Amino acid sequence: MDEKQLLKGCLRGDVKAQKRLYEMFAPKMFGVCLRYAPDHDIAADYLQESFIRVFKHLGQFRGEGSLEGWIRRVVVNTSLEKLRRNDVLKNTSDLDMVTHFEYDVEQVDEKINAAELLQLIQSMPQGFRTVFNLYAIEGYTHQEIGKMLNISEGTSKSQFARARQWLMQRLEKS
Amino acid sequence: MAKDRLEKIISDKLSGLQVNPPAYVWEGIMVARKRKIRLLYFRVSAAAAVLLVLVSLPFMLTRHDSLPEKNTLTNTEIVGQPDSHAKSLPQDAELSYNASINTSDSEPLTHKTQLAVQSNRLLVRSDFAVSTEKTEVESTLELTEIQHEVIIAESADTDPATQLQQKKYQEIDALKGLEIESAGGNSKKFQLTLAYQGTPSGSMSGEDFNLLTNASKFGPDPFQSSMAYRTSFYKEIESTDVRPPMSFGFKLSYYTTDRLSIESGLLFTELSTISKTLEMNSAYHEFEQSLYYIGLPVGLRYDIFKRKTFTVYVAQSVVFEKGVRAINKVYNYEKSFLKSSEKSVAPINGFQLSTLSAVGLDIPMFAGFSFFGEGGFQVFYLNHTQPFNIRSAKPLWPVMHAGVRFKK
Repeated sequence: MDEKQLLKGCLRGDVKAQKRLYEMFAPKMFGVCLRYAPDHDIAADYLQESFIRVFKHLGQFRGEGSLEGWIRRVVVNTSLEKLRRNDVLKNTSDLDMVTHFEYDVEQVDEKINAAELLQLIQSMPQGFRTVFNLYAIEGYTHQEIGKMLNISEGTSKSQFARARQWLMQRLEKS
Repeated sequence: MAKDRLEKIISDKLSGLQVNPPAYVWEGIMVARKRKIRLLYFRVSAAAAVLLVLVSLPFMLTRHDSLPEKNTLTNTEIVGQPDSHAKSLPQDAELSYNASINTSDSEPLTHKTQLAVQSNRLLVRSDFAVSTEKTEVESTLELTEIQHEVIIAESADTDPATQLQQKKYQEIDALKGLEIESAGGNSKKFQLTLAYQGTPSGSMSGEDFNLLTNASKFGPDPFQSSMAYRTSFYKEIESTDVRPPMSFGFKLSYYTTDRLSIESGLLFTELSTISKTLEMNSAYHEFEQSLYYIGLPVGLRYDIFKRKTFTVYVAQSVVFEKGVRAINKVYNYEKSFLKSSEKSVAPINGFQLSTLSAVGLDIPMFAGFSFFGEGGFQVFYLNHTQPFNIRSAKPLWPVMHAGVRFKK
């Protein structure tokens, strides 16, 4: 069954097609959720809510871009919405409060694996983690992040700088 | 730069990360899907009921104006002699057909004028042959009881220009020639009713909806025992969401007199509730119970106010219901997330008895079809054989019926 047939089946409400779609994308999307959520259970909650929305709004996917990219956007937006509900971005600080440090990251790549890095990301304060994910991994600009999180571009930059500083300190210790 | 290097490392390691989610995530998606479908079904049903009422309003308001004034039937003397066709029919024959005529100034008369059967009863007591001196043309009116048609014979006047107008006179005069009495009632002995029943939903606190066995007056069943055990000893019910009960079915009515009818049929009902326990150590349970019933309503309906465009009636019926099955589900949540669920199916023993009193409005639409809406109260009599449900929590419920009737 190709992607188009799968989509048609999902739109018809065919449970088998929906499960197939879920099995196809759930592992990748769970990886995304794990980066935004503080722990495994909450990430599973994000994933569940995301796929409920995916099946509800699948008719809005017009085939512009990849299906995976569209689902990924739904997952990211759902995670952000969940974070917003908890007001995790409330305690943000301005850029001028951040002190810049330079660290040697040459050895980081060899010393830390993906699981450890994920664990480190999950242990970040939520505000840092969210901005860091959006900027460093998803590739959004600070202007876009500001709009998405309803914060200023400067706040996004400062959050990222602080997140990076926090991360480097932990990496050096490890 | 160090900054770019760090981001690249993290992005490379994490952007393509794949982790298999726990199996219960999919199960939770399916639960949400089923709930959504049910909610959608209820909303569509409720919208359809409202739409039926709204659609019927213009018909009710405009039907009076649709009949041309000159087609109003009055009692006049018969002109002419009965012909051979009419003689074959018995004197004082009772014939049923519609009072409205498919003619108007804008539409030419045809040789054969169909009289659509609608709601009014007409009693014809006369011979059926009429000749009109006005046009000096002998016309013959044939009344066929089975087809409910009036046939006007070919005019002797062969002038096409005047023939149409003459026929119009013929028909109107012919109908005037009949001694016609409107009984103003419903001539259809049988009625088939398809109906949807809606009742309110809501949320109740634990005090209102006590789940203890000795307070809820019902006999033990596997689900109830389990829930009572768990909730009585370990958990306290925080709230119970009562989903709107859904009923649909059909009824057959038979008019014993002009206004009184007896009716009976079959009803299918689904009752559903979700009870949530208080959260303890970030964990709670939801108990979902769905009960399915087949019901046999037996009742009387009396038309208290009858008009061409609507009928107001009162109805009283007794409903015997037999539970088909109970589907019981328990959802176990931790940190607001569904961890596991259990499902069981149990039989429902015994019968549920209830009485339904309602006032209704019936609005004829076309042919033998009419829309109706009813509002009233249903009282459910508790008995120990029934599993706990919203009816045992609150025996008196306001109900609303809407649907379609077909009269024959």
